[in-house]
Amino acid sequence: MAGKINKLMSELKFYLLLQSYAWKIQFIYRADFIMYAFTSAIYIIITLVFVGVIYTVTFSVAGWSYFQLLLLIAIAGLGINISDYLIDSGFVFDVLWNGGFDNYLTKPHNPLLYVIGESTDTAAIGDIAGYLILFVYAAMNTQFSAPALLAFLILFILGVAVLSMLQVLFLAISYKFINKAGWVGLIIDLAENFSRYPLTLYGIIGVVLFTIVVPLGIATFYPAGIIVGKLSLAGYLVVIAIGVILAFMFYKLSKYLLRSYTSAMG
Amino acid sequence: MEKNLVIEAYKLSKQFKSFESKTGEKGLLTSLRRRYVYKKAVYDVTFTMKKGEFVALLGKNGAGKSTLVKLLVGIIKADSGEARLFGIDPYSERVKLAMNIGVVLGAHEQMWEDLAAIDTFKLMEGVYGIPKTAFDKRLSYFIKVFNLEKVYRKQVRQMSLGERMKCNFIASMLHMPKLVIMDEPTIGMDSQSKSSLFKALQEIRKRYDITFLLATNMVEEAEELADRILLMDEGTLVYDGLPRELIKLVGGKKEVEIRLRKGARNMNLGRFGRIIAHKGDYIKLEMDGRRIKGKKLLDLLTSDNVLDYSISEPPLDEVLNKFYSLSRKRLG
Amino acid sequence: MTMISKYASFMRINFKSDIYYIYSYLLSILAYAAYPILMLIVWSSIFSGTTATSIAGYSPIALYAYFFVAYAGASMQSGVSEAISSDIESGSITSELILPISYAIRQFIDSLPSAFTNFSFVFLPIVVLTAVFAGISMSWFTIAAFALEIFLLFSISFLIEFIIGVSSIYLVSTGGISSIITLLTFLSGGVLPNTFFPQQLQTVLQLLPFNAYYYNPAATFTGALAGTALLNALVVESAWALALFVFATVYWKMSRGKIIAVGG
Repeated sequence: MAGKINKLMSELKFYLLLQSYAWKIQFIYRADFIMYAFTSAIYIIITLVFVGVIYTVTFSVAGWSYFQLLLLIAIAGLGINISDYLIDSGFVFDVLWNGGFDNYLTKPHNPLLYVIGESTDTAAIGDIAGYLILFVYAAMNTQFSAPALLAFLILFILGVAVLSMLQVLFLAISYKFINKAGWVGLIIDLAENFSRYPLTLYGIIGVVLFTIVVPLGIATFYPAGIIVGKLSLAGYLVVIAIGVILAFMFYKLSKYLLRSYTSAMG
Repeated sequence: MEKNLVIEAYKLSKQFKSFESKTGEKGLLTSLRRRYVYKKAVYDVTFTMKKGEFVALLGKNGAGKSTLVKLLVGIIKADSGEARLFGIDPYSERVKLAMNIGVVLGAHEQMWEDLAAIDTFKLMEGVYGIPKTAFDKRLSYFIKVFNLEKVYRKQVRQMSLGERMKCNFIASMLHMPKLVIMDEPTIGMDSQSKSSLFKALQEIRKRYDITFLLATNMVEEAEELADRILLMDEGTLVYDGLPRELIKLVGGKKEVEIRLRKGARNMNLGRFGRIIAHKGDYIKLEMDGRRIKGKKLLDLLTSDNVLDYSISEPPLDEVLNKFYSLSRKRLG
Repeated sequence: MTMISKYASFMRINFKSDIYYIYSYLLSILAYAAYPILMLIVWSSIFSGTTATSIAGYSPIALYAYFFVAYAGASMQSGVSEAISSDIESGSITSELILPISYAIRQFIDSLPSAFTNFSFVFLPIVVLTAVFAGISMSWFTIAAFALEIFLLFSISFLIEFIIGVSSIYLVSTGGISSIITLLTFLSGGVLPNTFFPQQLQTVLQLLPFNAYYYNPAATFTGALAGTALLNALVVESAWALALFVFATVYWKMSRGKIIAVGG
């Protein structure tokens, strides 16, 4: 047991070391970084304008007011970009696909953690900062209690974990069956757009789809629902249970798919 | 288990499943259907390596060298047979083994392109948990022996191929492994950087008691560096012995290509070896490798009559063919 | 003839590798139809909550048709900048440059097969289905104008992408610039039809090349862009295509010599 904890701690330390390397590179390409941050800022402003236009002709979208919708958009942006920060699935896929994973397998660490740590996408921090500001702005115009905020944080962290595991799973599936990773980012992108609106807009199919199949809702719609008071305690517990089960399943499934990793031949 | 055995491989086999892509007019439909083909990449390979040895694993592309290397370092799992490195099972105890070996894969770099080489080295300090003082000492030694003093603080992206490969070696050796396994590390390198790399390796070998396994498709590399050659073809080991004997067996021939100046007089090149091609001012000569450094030939090659010349080995294919025909003769 | 067959062999190999990844086309259709479907859901919810029959001059049906066609058009955009900058960053461009063909033309030819497959498998199905469901009828003149706009959309986006890609000679990494381009999605009618914008902004946008990406083709399709306004748009787009072509040619000639230093 103690050995296991020691090993976990040393892997964690190693992961943090890789993080520092990702930042080192970002510092070299700081011009790019500023560009990204600039882009994120404009993108968020566009979102504000777009939502503003919608609310000039209506008072609510599926029962959500202007600030409630902004809050949802901010939380969706945060969840998705944090998971993007943690895993750059394109990078990891390239490594797997080109046989570069061999190198990681000759090192005394968990190779998947190693390559994921190396893939850390620091550029996402611009988006994260932008959505954080939007979140604060929308939250200041919304009434909620302190316990609700705590419940939100717990579910949100779980949701991000589910999302990150989902990326790993997509990666494993595309490596094993489809040979092209473009669609991983694509599905996440699509789901990202859909998760910016209340899932109830899409009917029962949409709710099931975004809660269980592509469970972005766990990191977006439901956490937002807590803050705006649209999620009951029972609903909250059910979503937590679904999240825990999905995270576990995705982890096991990815491990199973990548278990038979055979390096590119030659 | 004998105590000074570093590698023990017993009847190792590995086959791969891959799918044939069909080409043809109906590509759209047929590419959805896959037909699997099986290939025995490594078959029934048995050998051992002693501590301190430098062994070359020689074979053509696709002979199964890389697969064997991957089996030995625990990247892939053998279908049957067993391997032990320092008594460790490579696949099930991969992490433990990784602390004891250094692996250099010529096809896959481990240097972080965007950073200076020193940064990747420092990462290795963390990867292997190398104590700071030992790390500093080893790094300065390696930088010196590989002759990288001027470049190791440069961004890897801006380095030459040879420098990058040397850096890969350093990254794989900073934890002072007792065994270093290399898979075609000189891929794409020019002969000058190759020889400087080899010089450094021999220097390191003299100073530290490291065992080396080099997978290569170049006879001259094997001949120059190794104490022993394992010749591999179509997944099996076909020869295990001294380089000297293999060379003796197959002749150790070199090919000299010469481009003469227009109107140069006949120089009677036939006295050095066999002329295998002669076309206008182009002559190709096959000769005994040991005679290549003879003064008469060198004088001739550097004379005004010769515009350009190059010395090369016959390709491994020819060596293998010769090897087979000789061993068949012996058996017959 | 040999010139053509040389390029044809590149085209064939690209087409093959595209067909090989047939699954990705199914996903592409999904990708290009997803945002319009989302907009359809969101806007129908909005329309159902108001008494207005049109917003910014768009009836519900016309608005949905706009989004579907705009996004089908996005499948005709070139994405060549990434290929070029990765060629430059990895140094593999040196091996491209020793081929006996122009790099620029090679890139253009390279992107034709996927443009063609995108056109047949993604663009056309979406557009035809939209026309049927939305009950849109177009005159021959409008169809011709629409076709020209699609061609200009491909060309202008290729030229802009080419220029961005070549810029990586100077910038080492062009991620930032490419994301600025995605921002133009908004200003070119990819998020909302331009008629939602203030009049002054619309006028400025009409003079820039970016309307070629989304607004012009989609608005032509729905009939919002017609008559002299349509002719004006076509003239502006053609002029931009020409200007970008000239600029790209000069820029490439200027920059080519600097590549070797980066390659190493």
